[in-house]
Amino acid sequence: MAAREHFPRSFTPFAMVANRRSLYHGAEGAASTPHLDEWTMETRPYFIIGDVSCSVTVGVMSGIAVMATVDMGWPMPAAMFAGMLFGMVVAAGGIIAFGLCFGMMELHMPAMITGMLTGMVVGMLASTRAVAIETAAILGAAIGATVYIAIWVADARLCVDRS
Amino acid sequence: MMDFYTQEKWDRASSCFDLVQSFGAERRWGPAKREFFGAMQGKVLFVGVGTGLDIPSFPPDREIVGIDISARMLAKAQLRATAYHGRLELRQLDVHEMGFAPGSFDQVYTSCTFCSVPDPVRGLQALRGVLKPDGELRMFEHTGSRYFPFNLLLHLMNPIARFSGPELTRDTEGNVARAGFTIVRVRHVYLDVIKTIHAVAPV
Repeated sequence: MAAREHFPRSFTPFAMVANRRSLYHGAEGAASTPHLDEWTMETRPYFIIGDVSCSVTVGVMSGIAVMATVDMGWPMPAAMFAGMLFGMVVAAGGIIAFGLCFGMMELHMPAMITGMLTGMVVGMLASTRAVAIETAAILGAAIGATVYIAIWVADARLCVDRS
Repeated sequence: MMDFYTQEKWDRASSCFDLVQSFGAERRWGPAKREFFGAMQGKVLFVGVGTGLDIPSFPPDREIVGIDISARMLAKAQLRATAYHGRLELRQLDVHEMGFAPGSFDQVYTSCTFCSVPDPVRGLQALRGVLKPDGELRMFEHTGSRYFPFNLLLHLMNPIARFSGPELTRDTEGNVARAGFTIVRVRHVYLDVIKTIHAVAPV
């Protein structure tokens, strides 16, 4: 494990299209499987749509669940902690439901982070002011989308080849 | 002696294993696995056959011995093994005590196996023993992460995952090195959590 070498990759549209082509070719059979150095992170629309849907759904459901439970009578630390726990429970449900179609290993990171963050943020807000259910849902959706993008970028940086 | 606790755990898991794994995960990992198994050559030991979900990704006309600790998993794998174009023999064995003669295999393959082996270093040492000198160990595994917040999440979820099946926080790369292999290449498939590891047994 001497050298640490980043895969040749970039975020230009051309490179993304090229990467997607290599994945599609790989999916067609062993004979056309891409060479190791062409292999790259997930760009297939089916899985991207599934991953985003899972994160956003977990965010929306977590926001609504926490908003329905926490009110202004709660101390803020308790509201944030309870929100985080609710978010994790909602995320676990989302991982199981979406994981059957899209694979649990890739879903659990964004879903869990989304659930925990949404729970904490909505818990904090709901303990200090009246929050509309739509606001909680939109906030959850935004956190879900942001977390997905952040993990997509992290994946781009961590998918390295160490020879 | 067979590890009956592990055997029972995977016998139980066999009833819903295909439902959980066969559509989403295998479809996602299919291209990576076909590429991974494409390097099979010589006499190959495949550890952790499970219900045989990986068998369609094997290249044809290879000589493969597949083992698993769970008889129920192997019973489900038998149909897929029968459909394989090549020599594929399935056996119920514990990786810690396989009973093969030293140097029996050119390559050992594992696929999401060493998250579940109770004593991974001892299991890997057993694999080193059945490999020929300079034989190859090729692994497709999910492991722990070095990075926050992924490592925190994996540790939080590990107690639940361990109860139903795999561990989520294993340092499989470190275990491979501790078992005496030389690591040639590590490739991350998703974050630093799902990866392929290519190592060789000492000469």
